[in-house]
Amino acid sequence: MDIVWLGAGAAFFAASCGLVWFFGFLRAED
Amino acid sequence: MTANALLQLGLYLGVLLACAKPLGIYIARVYTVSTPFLEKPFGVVERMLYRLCGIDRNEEMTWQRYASSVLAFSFVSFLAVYAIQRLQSWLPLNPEQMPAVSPDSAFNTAVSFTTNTNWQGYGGETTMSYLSQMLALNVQNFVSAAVGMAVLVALIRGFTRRTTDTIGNFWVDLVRGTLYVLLPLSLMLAVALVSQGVVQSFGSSQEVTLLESAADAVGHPANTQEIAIGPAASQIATKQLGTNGGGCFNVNSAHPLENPTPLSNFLELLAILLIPAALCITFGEMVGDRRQGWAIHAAMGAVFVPLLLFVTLAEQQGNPVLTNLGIDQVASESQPGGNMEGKESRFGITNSALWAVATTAASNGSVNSMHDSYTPLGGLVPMWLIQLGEVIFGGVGSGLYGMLLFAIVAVFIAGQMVGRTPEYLGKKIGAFEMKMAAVAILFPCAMVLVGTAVAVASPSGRETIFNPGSHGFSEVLYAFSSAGNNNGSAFAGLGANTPFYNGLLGLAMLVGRFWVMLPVLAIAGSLAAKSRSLPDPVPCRPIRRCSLSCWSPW
Repeated sequence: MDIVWLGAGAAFFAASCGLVWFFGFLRAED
Repeated sequence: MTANALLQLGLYLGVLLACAKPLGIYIARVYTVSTPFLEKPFGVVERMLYRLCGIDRNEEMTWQRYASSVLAFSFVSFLAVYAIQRLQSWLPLNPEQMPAVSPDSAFNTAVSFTTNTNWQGYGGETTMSYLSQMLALNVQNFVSAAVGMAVLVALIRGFTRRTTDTIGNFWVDLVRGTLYVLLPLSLMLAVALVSQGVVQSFGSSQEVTLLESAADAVGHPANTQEIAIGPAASQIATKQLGTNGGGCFNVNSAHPLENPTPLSNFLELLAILLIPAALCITFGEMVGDRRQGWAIHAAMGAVFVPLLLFVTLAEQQGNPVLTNLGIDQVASESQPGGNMEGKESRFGITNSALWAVATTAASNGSVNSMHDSYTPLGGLVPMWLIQLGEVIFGGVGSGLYGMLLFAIVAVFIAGQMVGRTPEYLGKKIGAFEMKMAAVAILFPCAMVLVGTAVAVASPSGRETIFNPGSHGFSEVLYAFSSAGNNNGSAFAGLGANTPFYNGLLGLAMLVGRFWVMLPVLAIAGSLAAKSRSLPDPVPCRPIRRCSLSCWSPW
């Protein structure tokens, strides 16, 4: 089960890195 | 409301105000790299940490790099807290031989302490070893608060810097906030709490003989009782100063070994709002206009004080059904009166209400009374304060950057109302800043609403609601409000230590923390890149300040 919960945490932080890129993209477009 | 209550509330607010100014000025110096007087004893440690970690203190970061550092540090923190809990049965400082924490609870707790929420689905004294309490949880009490302050300081630099793409160095901000602000204050408070009787020990639990025989949970006669102890004072100090709130013991600050005397209660209450209130002054200092800091402080106080009086009145008035039955609920020399259900007689209504309002204003999950037992109106206020987004003083750092998001929205609306280009502290507020502010404000709200809806719509969510009906719904809504806004307190009555709630509330805490921080840092980067506009020739500044104070809480 550990891999599931650790994977969930890792997935969130990976998505957050994607969000940083997306906000950067939005700003460049602004 | 009694004169005694007014005196106690007035004393608390007066001492808080008196301490906030000098501390706020000091914190501003810490982050503007002036030399604080503590740099002599702690400077060696600071330089050693930089050397060990390969940090160049003069290196500046763009907002993307700053945000990536926040995420990387928090992810490693999450992994470490998770691993310590799962491995605690093999690790030292486990005199009660606690087994490993279950995976779902370890996930929830790791997320909870990394995000400065301190939602506790477990009972501290029955789940965590001393090492887990100290190395996993208390370390996060420090660093998660320092991360919040770092993000705030980065945002303030966005306002103060001109035409640059950098907002500071996250690692330096993290180290300085921990070393020069949180550590010294925690040391002082921990010693003061020990002097009041808060336990600080590595010994195993103590068996004591009862003064009177009692019955245990299954009705057998009991003459002895196990009293759990532990390294509490050091953790309590940080949990209050860092607006964390996770207690060593299950009943948190209602436990006599966490909060034994009126003075310990006062000191802990002071610690809850001290840094958030001081950071308003820090903001004014760092932007070079103290009135801006006081304007934010006043906006927060304008919401805090009436709500505090409202809860105190609601609880002092008691339950009208009992009044109709002829039960005397008036405060007198022989009784506190009002609604004392779920409250410690040591603290009474005033200090319970003050604690409830201060903690739910300040994103601190600790309790010294049970919010679930408050009157409907008394319980409504803590939940509403949480749902405001924890911006009335709020969490360390996170409260003020949350309030500054509202300030950005406020000046935008105020600018539209008076027909001028929206501008705050000389920086024009454009479409990008508004988009980011909207995203940061809406993400936690969405998480609260969606999480509550999923919980009440699914069998897994409904099966551990022990209080069916409308109050059970309030308990679920409170749980998601608390998680989504990183408060950490609970209405209780909800069995939240299940894989379903551990997972969903964990997600709410992560979104409520990091998906607010990221747009805040994006705003900081965007503002830092802008030049500072000249003061307006038209007398608009007083209007702007007034608008800010009026609009910010709403």
